[in-house]
Amino acid sequence: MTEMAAGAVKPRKKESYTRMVMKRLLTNPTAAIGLVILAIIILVSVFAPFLTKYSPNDIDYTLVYAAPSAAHPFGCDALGRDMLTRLMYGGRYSLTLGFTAALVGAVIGVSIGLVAGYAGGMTDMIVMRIMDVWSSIPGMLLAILISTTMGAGFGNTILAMTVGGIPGGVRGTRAMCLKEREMEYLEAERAQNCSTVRILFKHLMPNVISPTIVGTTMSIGGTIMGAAGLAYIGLGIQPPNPEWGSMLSEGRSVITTHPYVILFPGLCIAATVLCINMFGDGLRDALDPRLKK
Amino acid sequence: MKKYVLQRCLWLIVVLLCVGFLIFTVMYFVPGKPADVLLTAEATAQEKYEFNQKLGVNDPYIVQLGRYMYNTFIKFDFGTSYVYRVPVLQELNNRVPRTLTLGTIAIVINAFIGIPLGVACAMHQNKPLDHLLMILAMAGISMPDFWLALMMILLFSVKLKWLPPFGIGSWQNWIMPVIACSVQGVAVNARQTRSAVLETIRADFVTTARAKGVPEHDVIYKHMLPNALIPVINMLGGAFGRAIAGTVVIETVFSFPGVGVYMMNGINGRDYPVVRGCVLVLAAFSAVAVLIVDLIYGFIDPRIKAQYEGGGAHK
Amino acid sequence: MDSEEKPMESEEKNIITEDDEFPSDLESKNDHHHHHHGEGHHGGFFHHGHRDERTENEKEEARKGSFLKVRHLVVEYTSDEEVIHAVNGVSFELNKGETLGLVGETGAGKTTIAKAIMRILPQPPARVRKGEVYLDGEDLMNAEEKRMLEIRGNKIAMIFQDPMTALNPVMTVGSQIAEAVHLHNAGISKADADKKAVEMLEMVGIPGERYVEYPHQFSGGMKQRVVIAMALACNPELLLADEPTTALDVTIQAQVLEMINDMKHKYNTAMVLITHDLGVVAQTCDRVAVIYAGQIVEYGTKFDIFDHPSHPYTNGLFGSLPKLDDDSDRLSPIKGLPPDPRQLPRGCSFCPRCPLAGPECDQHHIHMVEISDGHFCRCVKAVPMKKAEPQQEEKGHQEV
Repeated sequence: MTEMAAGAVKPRKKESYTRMVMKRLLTNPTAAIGLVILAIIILVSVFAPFLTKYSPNDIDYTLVYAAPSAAHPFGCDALGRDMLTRLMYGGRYSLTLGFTAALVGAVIGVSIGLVAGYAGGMTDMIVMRIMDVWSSIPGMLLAILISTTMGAGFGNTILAMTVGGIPGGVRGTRAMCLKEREMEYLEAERAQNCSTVRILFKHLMPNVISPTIVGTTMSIGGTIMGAAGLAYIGLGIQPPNPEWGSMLSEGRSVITTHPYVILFPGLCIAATVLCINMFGDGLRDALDPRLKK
Repeated sequence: MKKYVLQRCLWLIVVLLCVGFLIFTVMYFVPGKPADVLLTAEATAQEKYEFNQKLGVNDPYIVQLGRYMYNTFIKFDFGTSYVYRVPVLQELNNRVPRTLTLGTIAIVINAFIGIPLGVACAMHQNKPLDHLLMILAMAGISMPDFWLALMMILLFSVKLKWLPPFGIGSWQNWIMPVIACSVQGVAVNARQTRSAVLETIRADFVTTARAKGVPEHDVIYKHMLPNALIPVINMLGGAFGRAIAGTVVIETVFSFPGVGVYMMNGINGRDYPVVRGCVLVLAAFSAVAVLIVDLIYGFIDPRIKAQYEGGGAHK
Repeated sequence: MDSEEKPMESEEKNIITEDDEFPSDLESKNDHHHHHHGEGHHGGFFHHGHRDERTENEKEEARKGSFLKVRHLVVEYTSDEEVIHAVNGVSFELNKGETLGLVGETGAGKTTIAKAIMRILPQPPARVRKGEVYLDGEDLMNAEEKRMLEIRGNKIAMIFQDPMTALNPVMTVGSQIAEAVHLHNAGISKADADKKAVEMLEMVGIPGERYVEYPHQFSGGMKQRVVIAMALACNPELLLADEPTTALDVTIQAQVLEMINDMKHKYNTAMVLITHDLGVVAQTCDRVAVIYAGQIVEYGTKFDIFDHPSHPYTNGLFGSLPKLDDDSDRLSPIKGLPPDPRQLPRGCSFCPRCPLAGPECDQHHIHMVEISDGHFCRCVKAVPMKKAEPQQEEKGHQEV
């Protein structure tokens, strides 16, 4: 009956909380700008076919490394393909990779962390020891290792980027769980014979969610840059796919003669990551109950 | 405390063994065998088999694992490069100091520039300096480090012709790689330091210090900062690991003859002993750095020290 | 309204002074403040509405007198574009060896008053809009920061509410006490400062050897004792104690209060004790000021307040206490909530919750009315003392 009462009260409180967070978020200029530009980037990537008349694979040997012009605002690459088009399509890879890897990593990391944090004892110790080993290998290195073994390609890159991020999520969640475990409300739930799973998902998780959301958002940027890095060294998404990182590696050889080839893909990566980070910052400020201007 | 230090060192060894195991096992599943890559297309199956046999890659997993672990950790023999026939360890001896130096300088810059910047921003919160530096920091964490490296080459080597774009002949060769490795770390550190200090500013014990008549300068340097910087210093361990990992890509941009480039050559040439050796070495340095920072953390924060020693509050 | 002639009393008598209007009225009323009667008393009793006809000598006199004088303190906080009126014209006086209890709900502005006296309010959000504070004749509001540094921890010390976070986690408790000693005893050697720190620890009942331990190694009650030791290390003349026992359990509370009282007697320290616990007030205070929405609504000796509470809020506070000999089923809290400090009601701040509220309550600023000798109440329904009536004050005053 307490649960029902709690349930009756919760939706009302939650609604105003969400609304408050949204309000704070949207009135924050950096966050708002970040969100808007990110939305534009996403839309451009999704609707690329409608926005450009070229295909990213239209080879034209007469236009090799053509300089930016009216017909090709960002110039052409080594095979005469229109850069602007390739950049637009390329967004799909980076965005999908970044969001998917961060999200999957977060889900897995939080789950493991919740279990370890709540169960404590032997389970906790084993999990933490495994995490110790896992995190001894820096994320990027692990990604390279996995990519080398599994080969390049879209799916493998997601796997590679996901794996590196898991220990962070586990540690963070576990730390929060340890703190929350002490709190009385869990005792109260236990006193009412709440099942473990239920406790985990209905009670612990909401409290752990906010920092997790912020952490995940901030890690998307790192994932995107990591994936681009993998592609740059030849391990991630392979040519002829127009991934921004691999476009950068193509440009390395002509840096002296055609510098614009490396300028634009990098700008795209930087701009996307910047927007995500700006939004993530705003999100963190909006979710922080103590923050005052 | 000594007991704890010893425990951690022992655990480090265990961790490294596990890392070795992990690396070997993951790479075991790489498709193809050396013979396919290193012998010409005309080689017969028999020749390939014998070639592989000589390298020991036809043996069962356990045997290979055992051999690997024994060689690596007891004999410190990281194997021989398939391609160049040079012992991996020998090559690493030349390259590790370079990469390590790169990583260390990056961390030093990280600490000595990032932390003061963060403190300055926090002390002047919401003033123009704070806004400016935070915007720069935001840009710093959003730029891929290897792209920054490329842009620097573009500007300083191609256009201005001030700095050499590759190689390692003189100290000028180090400038751009070091900057490329440091920028992200400095930006992250500045932001984290700023948050940590802002948190401490609101702390009760700061008010207590003021109420005692402690002059503002001492409030900041004797009370606030020692507390605020503790978590920041703790992060430096992880930052070192990331810097080390970052050198892999950056070294390829600059053709900087360090461990990273060696590893990349190994990957592209299917030269797996090289890859294994490089990853192990880099992971080892990362783990050691984290351990050192953790122990320092224990020394400077009495609460953590108490935890480490298994002590606690006694009333 | 005439100004009252106070009977010539001994030094112990504290006088409440009429305070100012609402901040918005301040400018226009500047001329009409104080009317002070004479030499030989410390202060009279100020009514609103009189010109300040004091001579320089009289003003000089006003500054002297009681050990601590707070006059017309007004403090605001600005957050975003909103202004929070935390303290709205508070005045009181205190003599050495006396304890004044500041009673009120959370958020009534009590801590702000204490911090304002010490000038440790964070000045960007907070602003002391108006007010004077005199400590032993010295003007604290206009003193140089250098002078304030000498005073803090030395002449005035403060004990804070939450012992768990009041101490620096990475400094030993001994060095934190010694720091205070060192700051205010120029030229003292480290050894001597440490020795004094050990002494202070012993005095609050902590073994001297624990000088080298860190705050996390102490329980809440012991941490609070350390805080007290730190505050008293330099024999302050004024102690501001902000809910020193709220975070402690009842048995520890008793110990700590007893210790504070002992210290007080030993050093003849004046004390302002902020609390919301009337039990604590009964135990330790000589005079009581009841604060509501940043203003003093009732003031008097402990006996005045406990035996003859007159402001409806004070009555409400007593009424909401559970009593052992009471048969009722429910507690009787005061209806409603304290006002929003961003938008204080016109007139009496308590009016929306007051059971006696009437049409004359929310029109204009309510002034203090003396309802018996030294006992003041800010209520239009309060019956002012008649001049001819003798009052029974003796038993109230000399209590320590």
